[in-house]
Amino acid sequence: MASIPHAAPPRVSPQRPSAPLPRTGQHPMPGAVRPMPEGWGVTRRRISRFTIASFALLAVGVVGLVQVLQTTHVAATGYEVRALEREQQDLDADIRSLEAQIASSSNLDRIQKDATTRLGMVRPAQSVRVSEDVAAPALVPLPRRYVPTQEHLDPPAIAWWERVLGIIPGMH
Amino acid sequence: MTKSHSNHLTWRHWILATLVVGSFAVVLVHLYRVQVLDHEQYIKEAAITRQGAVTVSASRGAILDATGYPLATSVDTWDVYIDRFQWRDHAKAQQAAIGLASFLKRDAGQILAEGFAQPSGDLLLQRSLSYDDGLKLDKLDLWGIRLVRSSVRLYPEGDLAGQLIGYVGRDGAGLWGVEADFDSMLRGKDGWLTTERDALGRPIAFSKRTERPAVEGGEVQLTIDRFMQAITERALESALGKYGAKSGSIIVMNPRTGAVLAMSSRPGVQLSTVNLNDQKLDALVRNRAITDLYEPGSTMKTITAAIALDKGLVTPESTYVDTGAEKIGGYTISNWDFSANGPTTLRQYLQKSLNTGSVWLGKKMGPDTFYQYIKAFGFGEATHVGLAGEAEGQYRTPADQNWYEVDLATNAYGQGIAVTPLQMLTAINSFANQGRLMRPYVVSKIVTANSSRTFGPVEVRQVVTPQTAATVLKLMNDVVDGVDLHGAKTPGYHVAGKTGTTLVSIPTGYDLDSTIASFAGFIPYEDPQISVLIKIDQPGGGLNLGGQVAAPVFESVASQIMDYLRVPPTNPATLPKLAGRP
Repeated sequence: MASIPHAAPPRVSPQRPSAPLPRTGQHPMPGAVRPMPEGWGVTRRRISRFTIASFALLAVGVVGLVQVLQTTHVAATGYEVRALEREQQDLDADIRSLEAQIASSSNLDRIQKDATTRLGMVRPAQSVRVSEDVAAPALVPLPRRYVPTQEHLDPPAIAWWERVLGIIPGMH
Repeated sequence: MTKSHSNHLTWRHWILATLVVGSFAVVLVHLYRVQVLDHEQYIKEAAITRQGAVTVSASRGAILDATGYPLATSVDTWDVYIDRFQWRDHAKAQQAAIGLASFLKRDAGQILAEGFAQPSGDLLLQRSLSYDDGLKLDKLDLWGIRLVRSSVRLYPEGDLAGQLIGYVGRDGAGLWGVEADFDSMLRGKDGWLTTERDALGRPIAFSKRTERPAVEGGEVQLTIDRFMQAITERALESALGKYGAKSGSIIVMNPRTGAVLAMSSRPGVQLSTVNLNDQKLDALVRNRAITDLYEPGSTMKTITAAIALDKGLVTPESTYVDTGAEKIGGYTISNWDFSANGPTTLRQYLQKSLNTGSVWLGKKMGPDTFYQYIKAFGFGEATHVGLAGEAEGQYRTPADQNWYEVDLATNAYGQGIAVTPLQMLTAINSFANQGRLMRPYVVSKIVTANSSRTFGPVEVRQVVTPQTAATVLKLMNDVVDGVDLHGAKTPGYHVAGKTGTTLVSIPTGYDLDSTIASFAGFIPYEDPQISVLIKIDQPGGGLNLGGQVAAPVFESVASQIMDYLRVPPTNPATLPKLAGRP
């Protein structure tokens, strides 16, 4: 069964005096006392201008300090990044230099010279071949790291907030 | 009564006012020009002053041998510059020169003189200072001394494969060889970095920064094996010295794949002491194995025999009567030793290397068949080995007006036809590869920052049938193993091969006193692991035949490579016995 909605009561705007009354609640006419609406007559605490100015100055100071700290941090990070980049360059150069040293150390002439002079080895006048039943060990040439392997790195995952920003025009 | 001048402007006032207004007008016009008309230009100039761009050099990639050993690589260095602008301050310049002199072990006065002799700009004081020394020098913070990063090319194996690897100029560009042919892959791509600078020209760390990272140069891996390369180079040098020869080449290949395992030529270039102004440099850096043409001589008889066998015109036991000389087209063709051998089989023709046999086979097959096969074997066209400067070879055919009937006969024994050593070995390789002609290749892999390419065997065409190839291979084995005291006999292994001796051609014909001695062969015969071509130009001292000069070099090279590759002996009976051992 459908219910019949009740009619809403008419809205009555609160009565306000046409002219502001003194906050003391006293009627302008001597001897006449007019009842004050509820909530009137409460003394409000005043915030002094000095306090406001102090807070404003403090806020400006805090913002300024944050900015200075941020700038300092960015500058420090910038120098750190540059130092790390230089270190990386130095390390890369070291790696290349060490690789070249390793290669030079296994130079065939050098090995032969070391074998004959330092170790006193001589070429055999006659060589003997002996057959074995086991397979010969794999030939391991030195050095063998020079052919770089291709690294397939997965791209970094995109965070949810990056996806949200991506939707917003002009935020790409 | 006093006279008032307060409202009266004299001509002096007008002049003064005009000057002031005029000056302001000039300033305004100038400001208008700077701020409005030339706005963009000054913005750019300010940016240039404020922003500093630094080139980030890309490191040049390495050239590796088949085992991954770097035959050429780069290390970082520093170039030391004097900033002449800062050295206007003589007192500070003097201090810097003293500091620099003690570090570089040079005379301070000389450094100072060099610095002051430079009117402006930067003076390059020293190239290629080692990286560690450069860092130490940088810490000294000497006045007006600038270090610029550079690199230097190193060849860890010294001069090994110098003609093949090539050289890099001061600008980092390859000048010849693989360095030049694959320069674009090896070189990489320089990057740059732009940063804003402060008033003293120092980079501002947290300023706007634009960067394009350098792309490192790729690495080129060759099929060349440095151990085999060293064996061939030492053997070639030894042979040139022993026989007093002028020049020579040795190529070692894998006959099944076409991979070039070693490629050496002499005279060669010393990479460590290259003088780019040397007038003879062209002759030294030439990779003779692919650039120089020669008449192959009797090694061509294997090709002639293969054509006849493939066409079914002869068998190994087919005979002809060798009278010692054959007349053709008004010319007389004689054997190299002027011998007459009577009834001779195809096998004996190759074993004794008889020119009359080539005339016999040439007549049987005719010029059309012969030249059709010659073309199929790859003569007269580049092998496309992947190196620049490769010669194509030359020979005349009946289609040419200056071709004569005798040309067929001479071409059939390797005269009157010009080939490169690589062409010759590539053609002969088909006998160890079931008649398939393989394209030779010297680069097996190229790895760059964003790609990797591998190169493998490529079959060009089937030239002869597998049966023909096997028959020729056996005939070549009979040439070595079937002849006593053959110079190419290698203890422990069966060898298949053929010698060649040819006269050196000169503008007026042939130099009867100069020969080119060669040998091409496979080892072991049963399952060829390598094919080798030896070519010795103009040997002196009485020995000048392929069998005397080139065949022993083959034996030396082949035995060492068999040891290196650990190929089990196929003919142990020929191994020397040690006392006390069975």
